[in-house]
Amino acid sequence: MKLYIMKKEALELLKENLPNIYGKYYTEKTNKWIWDIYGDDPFIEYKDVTDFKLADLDSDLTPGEIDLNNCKIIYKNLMFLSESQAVDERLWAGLTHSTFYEYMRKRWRYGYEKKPKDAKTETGEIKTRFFYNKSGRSGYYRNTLAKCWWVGRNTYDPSNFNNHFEALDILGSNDFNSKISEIFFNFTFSSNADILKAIIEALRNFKNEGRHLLVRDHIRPALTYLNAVGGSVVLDCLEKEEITDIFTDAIEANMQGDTPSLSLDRSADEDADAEDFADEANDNGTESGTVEVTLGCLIIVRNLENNGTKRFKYDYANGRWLEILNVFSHRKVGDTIELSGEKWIIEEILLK
Amino acid sequence: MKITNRLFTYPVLSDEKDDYKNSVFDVEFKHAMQGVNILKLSFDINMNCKELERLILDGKAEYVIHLECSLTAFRKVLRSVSEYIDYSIPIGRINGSLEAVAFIILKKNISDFTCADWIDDFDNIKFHLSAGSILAYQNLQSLNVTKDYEEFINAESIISVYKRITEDDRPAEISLDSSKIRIGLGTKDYETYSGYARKTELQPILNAILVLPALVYVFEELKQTDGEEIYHNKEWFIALERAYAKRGIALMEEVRNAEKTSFQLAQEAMELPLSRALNQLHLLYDTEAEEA
Repeated sequence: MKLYIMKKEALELLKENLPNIYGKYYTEKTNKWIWDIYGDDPFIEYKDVTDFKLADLDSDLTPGEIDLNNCKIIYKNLMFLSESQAVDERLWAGLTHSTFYEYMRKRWRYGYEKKPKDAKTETGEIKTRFFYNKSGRSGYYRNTLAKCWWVGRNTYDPSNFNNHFEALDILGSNDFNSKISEIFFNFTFSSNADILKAIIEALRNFKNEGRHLLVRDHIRPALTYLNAVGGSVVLDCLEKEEITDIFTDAIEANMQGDTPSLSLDRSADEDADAEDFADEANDNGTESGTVEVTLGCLIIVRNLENNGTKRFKYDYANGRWLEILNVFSHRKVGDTIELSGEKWIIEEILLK
Repeated sequence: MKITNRLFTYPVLSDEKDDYKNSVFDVEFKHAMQGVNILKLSFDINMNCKELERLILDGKAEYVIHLECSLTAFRKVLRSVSEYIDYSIPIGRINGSLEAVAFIILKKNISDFTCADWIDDFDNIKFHLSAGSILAYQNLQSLNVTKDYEEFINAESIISVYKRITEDDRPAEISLDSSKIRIGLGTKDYETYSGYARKTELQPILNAILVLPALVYVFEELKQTDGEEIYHNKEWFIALERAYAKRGIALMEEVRNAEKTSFQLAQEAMELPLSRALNQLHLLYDTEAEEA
């Protein structure tokens, strides 16, 4: 099987003229029409690779399952591409218009039962699927084939000999494109393999517990929250387990209708690891009922049922005020508050 | 990632802030191509705050360089207690803007942190800080990686493998006298090779077995006193020279660099061939398992 890249001039010609030529994608079963329009061979042969087939479009697979399978197939067969090559629109425009032209038409029903809409809509859809509608990440995470390579590349684990695509299987085909968009496109921290693994680990735990997550209601808010945490610490420097915990807590909070706290939760045991920088004892501790919560203070609360502790910084984080902190307003040491449906007592208020 | 308009609830050492009186956190960021495929980055850190230095030496904080090329989904942190950090990236891994930020990051929770060099606003104030907190930062100049050369060219195009008519198992031969670097395999070896050569996933392994040692020989030859004179007209030499030149490197200067062995030069020319080959070994195992 030969791989072709599209010549830059041909690519620009086709894209610029899409409002006039989009009908060709409906009417032409082969790509010979591109030669006619360009007046020359529009492709450059790049490489001869082992034959492979994309996911069967005549099977009972859902669109999400087709995309998920294609992520595995495309990345496994084209993993020799460098990332720098894989951002190049000429490669994917070449593949969608040559080796996989017929597959693309069938995938999007051009020439099948699909009827053309207006020129603007058709142009936009073809640009997005066959080319890049916008440059860069936005382009390759939406192109039908490029998207699969990148998701495959991001989730492929060469050290997992049982299943190199286990992360992809955990993500699952349900609402697949929304997940891709949220996890890989909207938040660049997922480019860090350890952070992505931590997120996948959290998703695995929910899956194992049989708890179904929705992208809009659970995954997106939790990613947004993780991004906010990255405003106060460098996420990449946190332990994988910590990131999993933060992400899990955020989803749990959303499930319970709460807003997650911005503090990095530490259990009582973990707090014991905190090391004093100065030799002298902290003299800012407060007694019950004497000091009220004020901006900038550190609040330590203890769970009345399991004795676990949490710390909250009562302050703006990255210029944002988090609603969860409102529960502490005007409170004093010894007051009982409710967090995530559980009762906690304010044990200490530490001032600057 | 860049640190912009970020508010901190505690003093942070940065040239963009005035929380410290005299302390400095200044990082010199240098970069240079190493061979045709490796970009070497180096970071030389100048930091003179005694309290922060103590945290680092006590293992409570560390220097961190955060690298990100969002276009190619490259995001990496380099951690060190040393004030000198270097890192090599295969050039195929990045494209466009590579952003770099230097940090001092807390590794452990600390209580009662204070510093004699803080401005007067922080007099008699101590901070409890969590692991992961930023103690110092500097946004470094972004590196714009522009590739004015065609990346869709087969690396093997200056090398060809041909069949020698032999009856017995014979060692491979190499010839540099033609337009290409030619590797001659005995009949039996060639037939085995040609059975796998079209399998894309095996290319890295075949490259490590055949091309890497051939290139080591090529660089050995070029290191000879009359190496350039003998081969400078060969097409493979011109192609190699051009590939280096497009990355701003003079091929023969690299070859004559006494600090670089031919083994190192060959690996740099091929973009981590051993790593790529080793990464593919599991495919052999997978294939066998499937066939079984």
